[in-house]
Amino acid sequence: MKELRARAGEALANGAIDVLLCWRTEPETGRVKPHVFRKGDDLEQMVFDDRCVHNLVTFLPEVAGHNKKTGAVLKGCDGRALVTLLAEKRLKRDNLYLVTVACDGVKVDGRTAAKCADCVTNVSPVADVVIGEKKTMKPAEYKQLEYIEEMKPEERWQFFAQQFERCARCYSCRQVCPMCYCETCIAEQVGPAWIDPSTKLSANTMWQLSRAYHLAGRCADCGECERACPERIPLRLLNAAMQKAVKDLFHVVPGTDPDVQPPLSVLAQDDPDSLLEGKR
Amino acid sequence: MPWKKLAKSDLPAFLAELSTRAELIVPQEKSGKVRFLPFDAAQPVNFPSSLVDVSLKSVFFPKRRPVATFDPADRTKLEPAAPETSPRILLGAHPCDVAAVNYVDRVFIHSSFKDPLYEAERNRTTIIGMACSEMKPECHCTDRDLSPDDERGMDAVFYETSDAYLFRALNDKGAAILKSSLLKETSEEPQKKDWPGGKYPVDPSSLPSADDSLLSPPSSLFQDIADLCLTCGACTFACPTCTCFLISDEQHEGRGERVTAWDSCQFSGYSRMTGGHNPRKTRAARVRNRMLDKFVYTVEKYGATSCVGCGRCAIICPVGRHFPKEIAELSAKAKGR
Repeated sequence: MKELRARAGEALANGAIDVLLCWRTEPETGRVKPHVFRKGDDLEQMVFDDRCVHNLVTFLPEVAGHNKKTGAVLKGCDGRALVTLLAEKRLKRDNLYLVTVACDGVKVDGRTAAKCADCVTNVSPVADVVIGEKKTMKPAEYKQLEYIEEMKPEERWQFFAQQFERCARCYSCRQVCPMCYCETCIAEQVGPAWIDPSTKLSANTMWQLSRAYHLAGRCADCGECERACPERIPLRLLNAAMQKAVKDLFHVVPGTDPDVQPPLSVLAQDDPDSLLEGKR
Repeated sequence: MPWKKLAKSDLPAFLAELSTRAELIVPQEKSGKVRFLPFDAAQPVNFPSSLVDVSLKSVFFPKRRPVATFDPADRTKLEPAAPETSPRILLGAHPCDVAAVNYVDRVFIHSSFKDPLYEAERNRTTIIGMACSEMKPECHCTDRDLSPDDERGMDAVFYETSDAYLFRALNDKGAAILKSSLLKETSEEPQKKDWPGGKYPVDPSSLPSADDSLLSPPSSLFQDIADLCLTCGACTFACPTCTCFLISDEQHEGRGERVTAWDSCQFSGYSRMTGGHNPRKTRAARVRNRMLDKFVYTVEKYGATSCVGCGRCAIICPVGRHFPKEIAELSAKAKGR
């Protein structure tokens, strides 16, 4: 924390960055929440611990959009999201100053977040400053899918129907997701309306499955969709199913390697053709 | 009217009795949250000491509501949905939620566009409110002209004591519901408490008027908040007084249905017009709209502020935004100028 404050303070003081996205303890409420620090702000309020659950990369395009040089503090999962956003040219790397801090896991509702058990990078794969030690993590295994895969198709449908039924279409999942940045979301298109806007089960299912497909090869598993959902729909399961298929087909785990393009946005000679060959 | 006492041990019998007289709605837990649901005798009923997790809004104004049916082959004929008339009892609504329903009445009943389906839901429902026995961390009804034992808008009210519930009818509709052999007249009265206030006070007259806001871009104050707001719909859907909806014609298995569905001013699609122009394209503009709507715009449109101080927005926000604190600060700053 000392080092983080010192490095951030220095960068803000000497004008290397205009603003710094980090977490702050709000004095009046005691809440830990994202904050934009500016030169002269009280950096004692900066915080990095297991309460820093939010993915700050979600806010980067908005904040970097009206500042020349933006600093950001990243956990490992935040960094994986940023890798994909950089590959998709959503942000310019030169305009960012990135500090990553080794993360031991964050807590949701007082318990270690489920995503942390499946974490594949404890620091951001892209950074200017690394504070703490980069660890070798276990590879992505998508073990959280096992109990779903064991279900019969009709049990699986029943399980997800019960989940999707609660969706109020508040779009917290979309808005909190760093990868969801379409100017006009498929759910907001009206001519034609691909997805009915009301909360009937068929439309809710269509919405959640559409979003999952759009995250194939891109989702960093930051778990924010599931955390933000007021109904706690287990959305990570859908994303994990997509990423497992992507790993099987393309041998890519999204966001882990800055030199690898998101597999579904490039066409390569050796792309698998198993679908066309009728093997899957 | 006199106080009546229900022993806690008699609650299941009283609930069973009420449920034979009318459809009964009580706070019950489902999927990890306490919500107002049709009474299920197999589930325990525990009245929260204050604030039910999910607001009362959907009891009168469901998130998806069929308002008419049509034949997709001949879309010129609409068959309006029939209003529901069977009696219904709502037991255990807290003062903030009842105040919110009273505000929503201004929008759907006492405005130029009357909503017959909403009005029918209101008319068929008797509200037996419950006084809160504590204020939770985000509760601030005392800063919104209310209090945890405010009885306005209820047909009857009850207070929880250590071993009983003390009921009192507030009008004839309430008195009819409280006619039960399980309720015994008593000289016992609930103890009134002094409730603290002053956490998040707002002076609406200090805030910019609707005209000011229409003619100027959002100030840096709103931009700073918008930088860290997702503009998702979590707060608007959790809010008991957010009433915006859209209308959608939907078809399924040869049947056409016209429905209303909750909408949110925080969505960019909400303010997008035919032709593509969007007067609230930026996040800052949408953030300003919601903040000022509660204290300025609804006063101009419906004659009342529309925040009841339940604090659900501050509880639900995925990024920890604290709307009550923000608007109180905005008001204090404006007054200081």
